[in-house]
Amino acid sequence: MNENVILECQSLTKKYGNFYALSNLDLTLEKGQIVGLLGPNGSGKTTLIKLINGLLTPTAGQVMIRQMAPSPATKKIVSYLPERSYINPHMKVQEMLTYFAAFYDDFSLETATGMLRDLEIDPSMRLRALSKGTKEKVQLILVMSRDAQLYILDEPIGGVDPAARDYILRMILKNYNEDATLLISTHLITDIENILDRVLFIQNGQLALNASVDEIRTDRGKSVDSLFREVFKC
Amino acid sequence: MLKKLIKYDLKYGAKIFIVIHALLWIAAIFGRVFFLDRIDFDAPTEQLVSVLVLFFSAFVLLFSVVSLATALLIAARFYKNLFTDEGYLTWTLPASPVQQLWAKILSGCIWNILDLILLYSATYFMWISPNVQNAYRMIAAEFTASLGMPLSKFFLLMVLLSIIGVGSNVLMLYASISIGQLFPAHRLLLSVIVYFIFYMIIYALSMGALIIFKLLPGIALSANTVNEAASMSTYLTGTFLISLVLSAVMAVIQYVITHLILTRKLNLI
Repeated sequence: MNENVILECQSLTKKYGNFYALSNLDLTLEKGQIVGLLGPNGSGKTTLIKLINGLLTPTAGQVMIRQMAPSPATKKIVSYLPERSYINPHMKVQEMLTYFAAFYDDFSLETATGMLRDLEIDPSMRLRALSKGTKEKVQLILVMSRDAQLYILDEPIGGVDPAARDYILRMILKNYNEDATLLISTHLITDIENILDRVLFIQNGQLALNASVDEIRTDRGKSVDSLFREVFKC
Repeated sequence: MLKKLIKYDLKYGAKIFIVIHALLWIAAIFGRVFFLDRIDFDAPTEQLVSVLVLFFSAFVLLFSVVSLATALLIAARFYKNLFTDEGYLTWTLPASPVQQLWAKILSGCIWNILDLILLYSATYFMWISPNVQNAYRMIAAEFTASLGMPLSKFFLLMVLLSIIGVGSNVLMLYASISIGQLFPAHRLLLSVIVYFIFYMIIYALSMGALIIFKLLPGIALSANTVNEAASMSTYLTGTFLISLVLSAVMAVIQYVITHLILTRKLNLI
């Protein structure tokens, strides 16, 4: 039993009808890394993320987070940002903060309030009155204000402008504990390449590459972005 | 955890619930003050009956709409909170599927019981109009004879029956929605179809039991020579007992179905 392992997938398979969204995927991630989960649309990134969060039931295989199957115990240590808006639009930003504080022991109201202030988001606003980008920022603030062991961010910067992207990436780096692991799924590789320690390429529901960014740069002499373009060339 | 979940479940939709029931009570107050307190029960029968039929039809419709709105509120909360985008947050809270289910069951029952209390109290409020009470005194004996029991006992029986059925009603909604989720392409349509199938099963079983136990008034009358009042009383008590047993059995089945789907077949699309 390796204490450093935060996430382990064994022969993980998810099938929809005759379509394999994930097929026999084996993966081990250690703590203290920022990992990019990269792959074209429909490659299985979101399916993998949903399985880790217990939002889907695997067809076969298993997911373990610190040797535990997805359960209330793992949800206490995993902070997840989905690729969609999951907050009730009728609620106010402040009510969402209270909601998170009520359910997650590791949520810091102070951190969240500070980030809202930095991004000039009024906590008294209702979510439905906010733009899509601002809603995404609020969700990210909620997720990053937790002191979790595993952060899973599905397309965290897809809907925000480039200026806000820089702030968000800085915010992610500032708020995550170095012992924690950050798994980021995105298409915007160049934007996040500099913060990544490791990349996972996923293709047709299978792991095509699991390598450290240093390995890619030193051994292959390429950036993650150019390797991605090469591997997933249409 | 369960307390927190219930608190947020009740918070959701509270405004809609309050508005709907406030409207119901305003209608009841207007109905009593401007109609029941003023109606002349000595007016010619034909005129009186047509006005009363109109009044009661309007209130039956209003009560049905309020009950339906409450059921929709409970169903919408369950569906939206567990199976739409909101589910991405609900299912990543540190709560087990069983806690989530019980929170929904208890909050649904609380909404439903509050709805019944407000409906029955509105009915009672209109019933105790002095004008109605005076008129009823004239036919009370006749009415009691035909019901086989005093109206107050009948009213209490109805209240009790409704409250006992609350858990079963809520679970029927939840089981239907959960089964509908197994068919991602037509989730809502399937949920509605399953709900009607459950409804038909309960109806068929109730009718079957009434026939088997010879409790239907017509059957009882033709089979026996007992008087009509006794038959009605037996019918009502029999229906009460059968509903009680059927509600309990169906509630257990529907709970098991919902529990299995939420714990083993959860697939947020």
